[in-house]
Parts: sequence; C-alpha cells; structure tokens
Amino acid sequence: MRVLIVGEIPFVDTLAGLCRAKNHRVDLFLSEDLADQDTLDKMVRAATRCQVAIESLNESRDGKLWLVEGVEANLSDDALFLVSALAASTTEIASWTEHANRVVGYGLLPPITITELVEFTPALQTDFESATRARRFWEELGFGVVRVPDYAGLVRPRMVCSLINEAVRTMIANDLSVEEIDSAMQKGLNHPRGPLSWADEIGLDVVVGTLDALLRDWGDARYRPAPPLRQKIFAGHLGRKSGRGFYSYEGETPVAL
Amino acid sequence: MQAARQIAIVGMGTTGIAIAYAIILGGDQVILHDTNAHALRLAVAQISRRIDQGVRLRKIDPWLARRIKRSMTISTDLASCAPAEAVIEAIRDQQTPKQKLLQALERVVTPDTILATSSNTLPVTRLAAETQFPDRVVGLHFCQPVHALSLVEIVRSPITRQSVIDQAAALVRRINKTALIVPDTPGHVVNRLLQAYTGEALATLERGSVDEKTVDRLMEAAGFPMGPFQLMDFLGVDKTFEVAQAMYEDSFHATPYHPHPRQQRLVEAGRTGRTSPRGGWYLNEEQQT
Repeated sequence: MRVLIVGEIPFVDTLAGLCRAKNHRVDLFLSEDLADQDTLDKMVRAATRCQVAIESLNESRDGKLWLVEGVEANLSDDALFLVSALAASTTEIASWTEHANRVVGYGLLPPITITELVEFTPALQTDFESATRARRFWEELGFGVVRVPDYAGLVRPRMVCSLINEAVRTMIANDLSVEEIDSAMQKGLNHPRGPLSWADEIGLDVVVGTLDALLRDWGDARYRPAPPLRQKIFAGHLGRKSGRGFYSYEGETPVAL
Repeated sequence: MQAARQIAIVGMGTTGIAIAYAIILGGDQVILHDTNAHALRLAVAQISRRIDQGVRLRKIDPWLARRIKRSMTISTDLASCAPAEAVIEAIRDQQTPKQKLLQALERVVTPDTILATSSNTLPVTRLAAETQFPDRVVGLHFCQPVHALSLVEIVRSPITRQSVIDQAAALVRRINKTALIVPDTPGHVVNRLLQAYTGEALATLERGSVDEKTVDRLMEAAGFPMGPFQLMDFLGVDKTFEVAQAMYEDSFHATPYHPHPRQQRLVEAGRTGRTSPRGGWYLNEEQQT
C-alpha cells in the first residue's frame, strides 16, 4: 500500500518505520519542510498517489487546519485519511475537509513503540466503510485498537498532557528543580518516566497544542497551559527534537536545565 | 560504638506499621505506641512476619533479623516515647486528634525532640501552630506502599527549624529512602500529581462511552504501574477522595483539584476499594463469582 505520512517528529518517524516494516511504500514529509515550494509540490503529488494518508501535527489548531486542508484536497476519492486527534477532535478536523466521510481519528503518544495500543475514534461524519478500513490498517501495523469518544486529546494524550501541566505548576509552586519533580514521580508514584522528560519526548508545542484544545473545548481552567511551557516554546526550546526543553540534549546524556 | 538512635512511632495502623518496619530495617531502635494493646500486639506480629519473610527471601541476614526484632519496644503509655530523638505520629488523619496528640507528646518529650506528622491531608503548619515549640514540628510523608516506594516528602512549615529538617533528612537517608524537602503547599508534590492523574481520569468518564477499564488499559499500556481507577481502589477510594477534598479546600477551591461526585457516591455506598467486601471501582473477586 502507498502511505503518505505528514507531520512532526517524533510521531511521523516512528509511524513511517512501522509502515515500512509492513512493506508499505511510505512518502514521508515533515510539516516544517512544507514551507519550501518544491517539497510542497512533492507532497501534493504523493497525496494524489496514496491509498492512506496519515496526518500528525498538533502544535496548534491553525497549523493543523492548513495541513489537513492541503493534504485532503489532493487525495484520490477512495483514499483513507487518518488524522491525529490531539489538537482538535476528529469531527472538527473532518469539518475542514471536502470528503468528511473518509476521515478517521487516532491517538498515539511517544514513545509509540512501547504503547502498543492506538486510540481510535471515527468522526460523526465518518462512514462505516472508512472506519472499518482504518481499524484494519492499525491492526495490521500491530496495534491493539481501542475505541474512545471523539474529543480533542482523546484519553491518553489528555491524561499525560494534564499530568505534565500540573507537574510544571507543582515545580513552580514548590520551588523545585526539573530533576526533583521527575525523580519524585518515579520514586513516589512509580511512574514509568518523569513527566518533564516525557514532555520533552512528546514536544512541548504538542503538549500545549493539546492543552489549548482542551481549554477551548471544555473551558476548564485546569487546562490552561502553565506559563513556563509557553515561555519555552517562544524560545524555541521544544524538547528533544530541538535539542533543548526541560533538559538539554546537546551532550551524550540529557542534562536538566 | 554509638548507641542506636531511638525513634517512636505513634499509631499502629497500616501506615504506622509500614513506617515502623522501614525504620527498623534501617537499624534504629523503635518505640511503638498505640492506645490499644491488641493493635500493638498485632503490629509486632505483623512486623516480625515481614522480617521472617525478608529472611526467607534472603533480603535480610538471619543474624540481623534476631537483632532488629529485639530492637522493638512496645507501650500503651505515651510517656514511653520520652527517650526518642524523633516521634512520628501516624494516627487517624483528622485535625483534632492529631493536635491533641502533639500536645500530649510535648508534655513527655524534651523540647528538642522532633515531632513528625505523617498526615496526608492536613497542613503541617496548622498542626504545629497549636504546639508550644512549633519549630520542631515537621511533616514526613511516606509514599505508599512504603516498602516499594523510596520517596519521603519532608514538609517544612514556615516556622520549622533548619536543624529539624536536616535531622529528618538524615533519618530518611539512614533508612535508604530518598528525601524531598517541600514547602507546606496543598498536596505537596506527590499527592498533587496523584490527584492530577486520578482527577483527570474521573473527568474522562463524564464523556460517556469510555469506561474505567478502557482508561486503565490505555494508561497501563503506556507504562503506568496501575491505571487510575485500579490505583484508587488500591489506595482506597475513601482515602483518595479525602485527599482530593483536602486539596480543594486548602487551595481555596482552585479548579484543578475538584473532587468528583462519583468518588463520593462510591464512598457512600461503602465501595472503598480493594480491601472492601463491596469492592471499589471494580468489584472484588468474590462478587464476580
């Protein structure tokens, strides 16, 4: 199968790896490279050829809207469109498209390889055939498919981003260091990894994109991103992918900042 | 050789026993106190069983086991706590009994004995304020289950003396645990983030068409040792609800800390968790058959 994957690291890299392992022909584009006209043209050509397109861009709703519209407008009529439902619900994303019936939402969170389960959520507009094809696609990639209600952030990304947000607030309120917070969660709650190091892994822009969607949809102040998260994004410290977030990744081992 | 230090633990409930066991393993002598003689005997039996188990699993040297079993003193008289350099109270988590206990302790111990509270919900400052020497009152929050988790939060009130913090930190290090010194804020670090985890899970239930099992399954697949609903059952639905309520009150109703009506309904129904005959979020095994 020809699969088009467009979005941000580390999501798209892992997905591309999984698809290639199943002998799919993958066209991979990073959303940040699409500012270049040649790359954009290539992406459009790849979109016309693919049977499945996967989108994963969650740093903001506006960025997502631009990308989703651009990809979907070029898909062939029988192509399936899988969209990441972190920064907007699938139903909202589908509303931006020409053929909303072929849009199916999913949710994954890095590190993807250990999570095994993919959250799966058809939009209100999705037809039965597309939902079935999407489910089968994820199963064939080796995921357990868990159906969840279609709201931005789904279940796991929402839980983890909330935890990260509260970890940042707790760090400030208690005047603690990045390492103290991360080690407290591992030694005091047996969490698999510190929330701040996890935030770096996901990308602070994705964390804030998800929180912004939750804040917009539910109006609950608990989702207001903690100011240090936005500060780091302004500075371009987006986490591991930019070499710097709560930790610095410039050396061999991450160093807390 | 330096004489072993003595640490008194008051209140032999689950938490008191777990703390006592951790301290005994660290090599300090313990004075165990409870007003109920039966509870005291049960506590000693339980601690001895855990030590024997440690020997069988080759985690504790048999020679050490004999020595540490002898290092326990028990008494129903609070005055027996007098020689301790620190008293850790682990009685029921309510303000009045805890305050009364701290006042009674002050009448038997010297002015520089550390008084530590293991309270999960009450601000240390509030408890300290009612004592004669509030600068020696400190919070010692052991993460549950104590034997499996190494973190101990040392809670510093605005009037706690630095030397008291240092001594508490030294005690935590002696028993091979990790000390995290935190100011007296609602939920400190661990309970606050525990509440973020369970509170967000409770909010997802409101969306309909997702159930506890699905949420737990997704979180466990992400590497969490327990999904949020399993975790509430493990810690006690009533206990986690109390923590949520206390955080909500102490933060002057800050929004992230809303307790949830469904927690309260379960508590009212007596479904308080894994150890309850009625189960908690999940039914227990007997009910399922």
